[in-house]
Amino acid sequence: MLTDWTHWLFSHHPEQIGALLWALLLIDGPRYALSKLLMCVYDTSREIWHWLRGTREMPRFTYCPSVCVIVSVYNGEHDLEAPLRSVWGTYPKLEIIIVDDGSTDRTHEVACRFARCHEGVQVLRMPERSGKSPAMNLALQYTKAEVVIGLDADAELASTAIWEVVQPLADPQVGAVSGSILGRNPFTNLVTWFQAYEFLNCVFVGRILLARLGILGIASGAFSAIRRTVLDMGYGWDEGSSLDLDLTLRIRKSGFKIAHAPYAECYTDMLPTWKALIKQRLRWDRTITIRLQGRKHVDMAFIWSRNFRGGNFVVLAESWFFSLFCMYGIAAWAIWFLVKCPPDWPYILLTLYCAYVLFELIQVVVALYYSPSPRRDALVCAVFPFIHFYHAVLMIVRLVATTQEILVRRSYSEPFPPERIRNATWHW
Amino acid sequence: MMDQVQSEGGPPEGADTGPASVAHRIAERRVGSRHALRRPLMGVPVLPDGRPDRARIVTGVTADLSHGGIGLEFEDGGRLPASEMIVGLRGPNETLQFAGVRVCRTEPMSAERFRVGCQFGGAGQDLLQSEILAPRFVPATMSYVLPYPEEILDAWCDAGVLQRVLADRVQLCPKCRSVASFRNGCRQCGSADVGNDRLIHHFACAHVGPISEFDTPSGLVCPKCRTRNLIINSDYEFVTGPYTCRRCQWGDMELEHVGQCLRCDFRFPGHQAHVHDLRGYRAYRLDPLAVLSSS
Repeated sequence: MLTDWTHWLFSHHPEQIGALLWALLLIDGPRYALSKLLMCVYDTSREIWHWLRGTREMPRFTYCPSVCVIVSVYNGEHDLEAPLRSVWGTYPKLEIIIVDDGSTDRTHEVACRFARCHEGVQVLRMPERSGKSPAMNLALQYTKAEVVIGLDADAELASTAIWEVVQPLADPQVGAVSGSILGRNPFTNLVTWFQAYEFLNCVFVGRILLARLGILGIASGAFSAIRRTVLDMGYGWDEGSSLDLDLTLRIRKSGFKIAHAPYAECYTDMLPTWKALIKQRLRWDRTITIRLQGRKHVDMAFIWSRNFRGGNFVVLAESWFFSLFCMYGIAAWAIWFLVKCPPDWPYILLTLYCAYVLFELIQVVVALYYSPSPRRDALVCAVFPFIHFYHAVLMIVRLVATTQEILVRRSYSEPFPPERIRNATWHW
Repeated sequence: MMDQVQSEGGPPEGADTGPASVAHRIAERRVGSRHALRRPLMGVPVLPDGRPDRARIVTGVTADLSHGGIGLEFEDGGRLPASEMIVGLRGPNETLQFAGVRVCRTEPMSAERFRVGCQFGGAGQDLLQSEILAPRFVPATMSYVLPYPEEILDAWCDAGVLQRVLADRVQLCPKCRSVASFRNGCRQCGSADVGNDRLIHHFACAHVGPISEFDTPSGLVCPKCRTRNLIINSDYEFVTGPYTCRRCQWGDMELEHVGQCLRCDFRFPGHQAHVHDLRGYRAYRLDPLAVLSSS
């Protein structure tokens, strides 16, 4: 088979192979692999230059604003203590607010017990389940901290994560900083391994590049730091799912930059089953591209809008191009391929697969270059030859979710947020 | 009723010796009709200091029973060890019921048997009063004490007349063991001067803020999204904020159960209070009418 494929490959002109791989060479390659490689080469050259000149400086924590970590939790009696323990005592001017979002288990008791034993911890409670946005907004009423950090109730922070995540806020133009979300359980099974690799590649390295280009459009709700004055300007979080993306776009509209702190590490559990993963991605994909970027914040792309800026336009255009145009394009190509079924289809697919693996390998090298613990991350990256099957599944999920949202606004019939709030809020 | 006198005759010759010797001179004064009743009984003599004379517990049977007294029959020796006794006989539900009696008259019936007429009352009857058997609060010392010496009551328990019971369980000052008052207050300083905010949660835009932010002359208006004429439960709900102490500014979602000693003013968290069991005693008192109606 391999010999046949080699013969098939060399029997074609380079132009013919190029025509087969044009999408990879012109779109996916530059966007995901070559751009990161360029960034990596630039940083390496810079490092060498500073090392030769003796001007290399170790990063130091110089900015120390007061920080409030808000943990919104619903029925998390078993998971709550780990994130609180990972945060408490890691930063000097720190307060923690736990908001119990109307839990029906012992969450409130666990939170109160922690608050009694640890100074600077406050517990608030919503009368019944209302979703994350009002819970976060309630906490805002009870803090005067300069920086607010949102932390998921099932996440854990590295010991210097808060120091790392607040440093970019020394620049008054930065409104929010995204932390790095990494997998806490990468090797539980293949699904968690895929997700851990995806997070390492997209969140850890991908956001370094996007932040440098000034087109980072999201600061993860699982762990991100937001300037308090920016939150006050917009009255906190808006209602709806994917509230982290919504808030980030609103911050961008206000004229602030979004930064990324790659070494502000937050470990969270990857979903252990395909079913849970597909459910999560359906929810995300319904909301992100169409509802938020295509409806609610579409004014960011209109040149006559006061929210228009070059960076804002690129944020939306990049998302629409890759999440809509490319996705439907690939779907159309796949249908054409199935219908046409060329006689040399196994060789075509193998060629495509090998090319994509090669480009994926470039991303692995870049990820390991930036990784603070390459040995740990090398194991996570070992799944890269198979990641395209995972991407294929997620692309089908995205196709379904996006089409549903375009046609029937399916995101408004999801159980998040609760029905009484869903019925009262605006349907974008 | 007890003013009316019904004499049962003078004392028999040679029967007026021993501690009950004075008793025969006092006429038994029972007015109510007497009802024949034969039931086994036990009698525990009451010593002058109030203790039971356990060495001289006597057994016999009842002869008759009336509202104000009881007639008893004993077999051994024709002498009673005391002029006051607590007698116990089985009541309707087979429990031993007790009554304090004063021996008024002894009368021989044969060589070995003699009859005793008694009135309800005396030190034994006083002992069986519920006021004596339960601990009483003494405002001067802010503590609970038993009105009767505890060792005497314990002796009556050992004699089988009284039973020990848990009268109450109280929380006392951990410092001086006096009574404390309890209230919900600040966890930090214990002050009861605490209050909490009421906030409004607007469903549509998720804004949460104090009522004053929403309250305008034209009604409730959301300061974030400018929605007007908000309707409760449809557009918004009230959210209760944490309690804030007006003395030390401490904030918390739940108040602490705080105790303050009424004697030494020591303030302490409720869970640190000294828990003290107040021991009391219980006596099953004889109810003559119930006994008669059951027989």
